[in-house]
Amino acid sequence: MPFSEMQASGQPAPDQIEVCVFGPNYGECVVVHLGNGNWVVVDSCLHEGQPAAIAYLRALGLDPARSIRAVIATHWHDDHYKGLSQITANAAAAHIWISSVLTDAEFLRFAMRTKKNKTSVAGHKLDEFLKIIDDICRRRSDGQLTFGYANARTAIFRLDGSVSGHGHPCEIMALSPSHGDVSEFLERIVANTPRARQTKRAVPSPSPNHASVATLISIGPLGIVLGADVENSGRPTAGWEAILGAHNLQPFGPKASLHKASHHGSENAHNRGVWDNLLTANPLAVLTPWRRGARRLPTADGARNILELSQDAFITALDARSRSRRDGRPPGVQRFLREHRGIRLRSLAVPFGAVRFRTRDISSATWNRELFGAACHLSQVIRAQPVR
Amino acid sequence: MLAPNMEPESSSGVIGSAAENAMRATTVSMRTRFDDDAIRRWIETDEALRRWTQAERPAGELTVPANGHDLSTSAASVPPPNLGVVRYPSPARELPREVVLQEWEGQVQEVGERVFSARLVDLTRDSKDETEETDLPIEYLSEADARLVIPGAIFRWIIGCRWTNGEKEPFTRVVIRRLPIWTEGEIKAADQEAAELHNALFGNAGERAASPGPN
Repeated sequence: MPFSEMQASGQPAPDQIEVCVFGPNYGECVVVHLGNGNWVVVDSCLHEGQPAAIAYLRALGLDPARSIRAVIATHWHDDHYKGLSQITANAAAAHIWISSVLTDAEFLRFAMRTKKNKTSVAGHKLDEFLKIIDDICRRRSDGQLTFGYANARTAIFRLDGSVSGHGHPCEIMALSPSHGDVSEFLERIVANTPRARQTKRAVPSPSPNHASVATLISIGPLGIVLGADVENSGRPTAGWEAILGAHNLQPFGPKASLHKASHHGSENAHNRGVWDNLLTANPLAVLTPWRRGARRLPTADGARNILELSQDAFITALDARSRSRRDGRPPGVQRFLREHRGIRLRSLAVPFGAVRFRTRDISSATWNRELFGAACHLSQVIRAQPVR
Repeated sequence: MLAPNMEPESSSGVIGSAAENAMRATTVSMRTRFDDDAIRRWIETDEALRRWTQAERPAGELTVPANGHDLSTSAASVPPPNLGVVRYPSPARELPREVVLQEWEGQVQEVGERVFSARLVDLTRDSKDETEETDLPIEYLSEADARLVIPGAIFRWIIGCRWTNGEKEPFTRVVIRRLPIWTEGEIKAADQEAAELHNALFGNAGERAASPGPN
């Protein structure tokens, strides 16, 4: 990742808003400069073993401990959590926000039972989450109430206009999870909780994704929607439908000119109502890719859905389906993999990329955009994938 | 320590009168041919060994189980008395027939009709992180293992080479781990930790809220 390229233009000015989205093909992190040196980190992914957010801020010559004011963990899946505990450790004064449902007794029971399963070398996917919970417990016992549990309409962070550097007040508001999200999520968690006499297995990642914390960042008249992994639920009480229902009753804030598309641009996350009601016409859009096994997001159709509504849509990395590096392995292994074409081996260490948006023109929301590393225009996803 | 041509079930027999012996021999003649001399030698040998294990061996090595036969590995450290037992040398140890070149631990992600996908940890490189993923044909699994392929299943995948009749050839082996079941004790301990964690997070319900952040 060319952090050196990213640092070339220097830190954003105090009155400049910045949204920088990082993502390899499995992982996501968003770093937001609200103004006057106040940064917020949403989710985390790793780059060369360290959190991309920390590496980026340091590349800009910033001290994460002084710069990061809030860390938001949208949900517990490991493509959004890797390195998050390192961020909170490096930013001890920053507020930690997690979805309220992750502190529910049922989820904690699921997490602690799953933690007992030590059958895999890779450990389990809850390690990082439990480190965050430990951090919150430690803060609480120290009397340091710099944490919170988010539900829909929770005000996560506020910055007064007098100290924002541009004169506009800032607010980060949670759009989700709704009560319907919470109950549906817990039902799935209970169904997946290990029980006595069941055979152990690695932890699954029970959906639904819409228990995650989507946010609206309001900076005066400027809006930014970070969609987390929210999807459509098919019911008015959960997912995007619940967010839109709540917004129609009482708007969350200004329409957003920049949208981090939810759930890696999946078709089930696409909701025309979101684009019509929460976003301005032809907003900027950005997303991170995702893959598990043969499944890839976004699909070509998912990318088309977004490109129909946003001419300026970007993705942080194009999934090149990189083959695993065979060199360095014994010749016998290389030969075996070469000769057995039924076996596909791919590296997860894929090109890293970032898309950065900056603006000083808060009223007209004219954003400057820069692509780094493996980032590209979303239309390239369609070119790279065969038509189904 | 069994006498030649005797089956184990006969070894517990007690030598009684000649008539009883004859009757016993007749009863089991279809299976066992009794030989009084062999039985006597066997009893003498057994008693000699019992004396040796109880008296002649160092005190620290007395690991004689209830049946009087020392099965511990340390018993071999002191040579037994010469009882006229013929010992055959063990065959020369053969060279390993297989060499493992690459080993992964995998976690099944998705299972299709013919292929399953998995995340891999490279054990050959002592990695603890999932650094690769693969699509493996289910036909690489044994029939028993194929039934165990579900999302979340853990397996070992080995690529190596082996020698068959002097010929070197590559091989691969995918073995699904038979994981243990969750025990009541583990579940109770986990639930206790979860309750403590919940209490640490919330304590009294009135302390639950956190501020939305400084202005």
